[in-house]
Amino acid sequence: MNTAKDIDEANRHRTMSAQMRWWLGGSGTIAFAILATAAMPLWLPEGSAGIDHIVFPIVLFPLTWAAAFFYVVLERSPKRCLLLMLGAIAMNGALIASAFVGGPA
Amino acid sequence: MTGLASILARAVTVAGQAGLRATDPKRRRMFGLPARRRGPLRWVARGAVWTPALGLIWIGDLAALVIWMGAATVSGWGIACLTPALLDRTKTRIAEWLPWGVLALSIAPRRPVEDIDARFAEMEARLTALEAIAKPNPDRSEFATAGS
Amino acid sequence: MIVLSQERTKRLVAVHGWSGTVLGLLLYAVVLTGAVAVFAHEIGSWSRGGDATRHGLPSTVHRHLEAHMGLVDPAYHAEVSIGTTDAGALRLSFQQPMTNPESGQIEDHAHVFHVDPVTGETLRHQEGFLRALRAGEAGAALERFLIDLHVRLYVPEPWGLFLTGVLGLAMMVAAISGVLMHRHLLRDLYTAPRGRGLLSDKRDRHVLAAAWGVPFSILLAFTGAFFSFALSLGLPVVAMVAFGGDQQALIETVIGNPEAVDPRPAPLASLDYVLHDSAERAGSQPRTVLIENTGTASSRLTVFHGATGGALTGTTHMFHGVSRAFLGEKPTLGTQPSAGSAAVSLMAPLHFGNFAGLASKTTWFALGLAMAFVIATGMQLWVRRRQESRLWQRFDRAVVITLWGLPIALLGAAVAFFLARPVGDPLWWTPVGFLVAGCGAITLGLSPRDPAARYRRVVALLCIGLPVLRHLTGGASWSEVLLLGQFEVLTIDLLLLISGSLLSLADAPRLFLRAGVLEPAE
Repeated sequence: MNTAKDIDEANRHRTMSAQMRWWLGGSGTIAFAILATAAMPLWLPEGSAGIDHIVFPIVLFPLTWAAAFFYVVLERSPKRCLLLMLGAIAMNGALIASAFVGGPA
Repeated sequence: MTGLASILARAVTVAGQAGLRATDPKRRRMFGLPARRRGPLRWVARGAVWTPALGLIWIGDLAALVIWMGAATVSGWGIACLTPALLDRTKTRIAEWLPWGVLALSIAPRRPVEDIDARFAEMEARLTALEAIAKPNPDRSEFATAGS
Repeated sequence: MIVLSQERTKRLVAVHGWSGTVLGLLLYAVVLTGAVAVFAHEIGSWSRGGDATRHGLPSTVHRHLEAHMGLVDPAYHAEVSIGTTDAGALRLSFQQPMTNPESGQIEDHAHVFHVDPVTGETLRHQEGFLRALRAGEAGAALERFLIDLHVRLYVPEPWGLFLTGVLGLAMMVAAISGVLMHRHLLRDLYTAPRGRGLLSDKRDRHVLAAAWGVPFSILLAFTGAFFSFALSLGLPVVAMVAFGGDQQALIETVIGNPEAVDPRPAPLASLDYVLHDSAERAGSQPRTVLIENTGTASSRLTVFHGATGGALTGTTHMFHGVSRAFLGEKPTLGTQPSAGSAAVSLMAPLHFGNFAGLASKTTWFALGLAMAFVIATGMQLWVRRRQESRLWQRFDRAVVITLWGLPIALLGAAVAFFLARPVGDPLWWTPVGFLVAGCGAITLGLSPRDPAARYRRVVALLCIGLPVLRHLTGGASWSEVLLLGQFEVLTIDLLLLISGSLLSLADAPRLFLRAGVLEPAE
């Protein structure tokens, strides 16, 4: 049987999850989209004209953001959502940092 | 080429959409129309909607294909919006506003309403019943005041 | 059919509702002005009293170009752009990059000549930064205002672009979440509202329009967000990582690195021959020509053609400026065909709908109106479900004011343009007219009575009044425009008169009732 304390705890947990999702869906996805756009030229193929790696990140920016946003909204587990988003942000950030350390491509 | 192919494609698609609208089972249920027997008409209508797109791809007219896509969504919406009541109302409005009323009425005959007296009687009965529910009962309110 | 858990559906409903409501009023403004801006050029032509019919560049280009080359400093021969003006004159623009002291950025400084294509007489000569020259064209005030309002809601750069970009993303979110949360989208494609005046009817109306419009809502929102973010955010971000922050280097790489200049003087090949050759290859008349390093051995001609033959994009040909040899087709980006160039070149036709003249423009206009309808009905639905709250009641009134106020303000901008054209500065007065009419509409909407009927009358009056005002303030008469084949003027005049009349007719029964001409229905 649930005690009042358990219910309180569950409510608090739910509110925290909702808040976390709200922050991730807002600033988290924007940060991810900007970092992913910046990092994409480092791993996308250049294509026949040598421009695809520059053009596609810019073209895909709205879709990159939308994909991240809907992932955050639809992901069942808030914990997994947080870990995956932070992981993706950190990975893209590391790629960009490595480019700066090694000099611009 | 774009112009002619585009117009033709849109016309065929509109006809197909009108067919789909007329045979749509959910729509027929909603507007109290009798259910249709399963037949080829729905498949013919589906074919009419999509064949123009295949035709435009076949002749390689990309511009006409994109126009067709846009136009098909707008025309589909317009056709789906046309309810039987709206069609009747539009016809009646045209008939009222056109100066040559006789001709207008002949092209837009009002749909005869069957058993109108019975329907009026039923509506009046329902109205009376609703009024009886909505009106505060003076006896009961007095009783409630006295009781409190 | 997409089945989602209750929890996920709840989140999607919240996302759908809030994305469409919080930004809904601005979204409606961007979408409606976008629908109108599809015809920005035609509206511009109408406001100027009709443009000359364009038949491509005249066959006398080379002669007129040579005659004007001597009039400017040879430094301006670095780039020569040749096109036609709205009035049908030949437009020669001699330009070179220079730092604009006002903006601190490198811009094209130009000598622009408008030349009579037959006699070669100089009709007009302007000197200045191209951007400022374009912005100062009084005849294009209405057209430019419409585009600016759609592109950046008249908010200064880059914030306006950020704002419209966010609105594009919000539109994408609303459309995609709508698809995900509506389980029977395909089955309900022909489910019309039953007209019982209930909330479910409002819902049906919104869902029906949204279900049909969803592919293009996503497409237009995506391409719109791309245009807003590409230069304001994407370019600097990519340049920061891939080019150490050098945006100019990125642009040069993407457009195609310029070849080394051979400064030895050499005569320019016959432009008339090159234009003829290019027209035969493209199957259409050239629209504009760009000549780089004019008069040198490394001179190059780039000839631009509009979309023809069922294509969505136009073609661009390159020729050697001295030997007139055909160098090949130039992709939109880069020097060779690529997937990136193809993707970017599709963005403009898919967003503007300008690839097949009136046929595509009319379709895009209708799609824009359908999207505006979806946004408007969505906001109304959201508000009606929360009618008990005073805050939402106020928002409901704000929705009504915006729905009607925006068309009134747009018509007000056109009124101000026509009034200012003969006596003042239409560039300043057009936005002022928009603001004044908008404030009037807000005031009208603040009264406690339902303002819809009054709004309808104002819109009808403005629609009927505009063609009359256009004529009274020096615009061409119908007989003149018919004689010159300027059908845009006639078409827009007629559309305004018909719209105004239809809106008046909607009010007519009530007016006749009041006047005692009609008997009230039993």
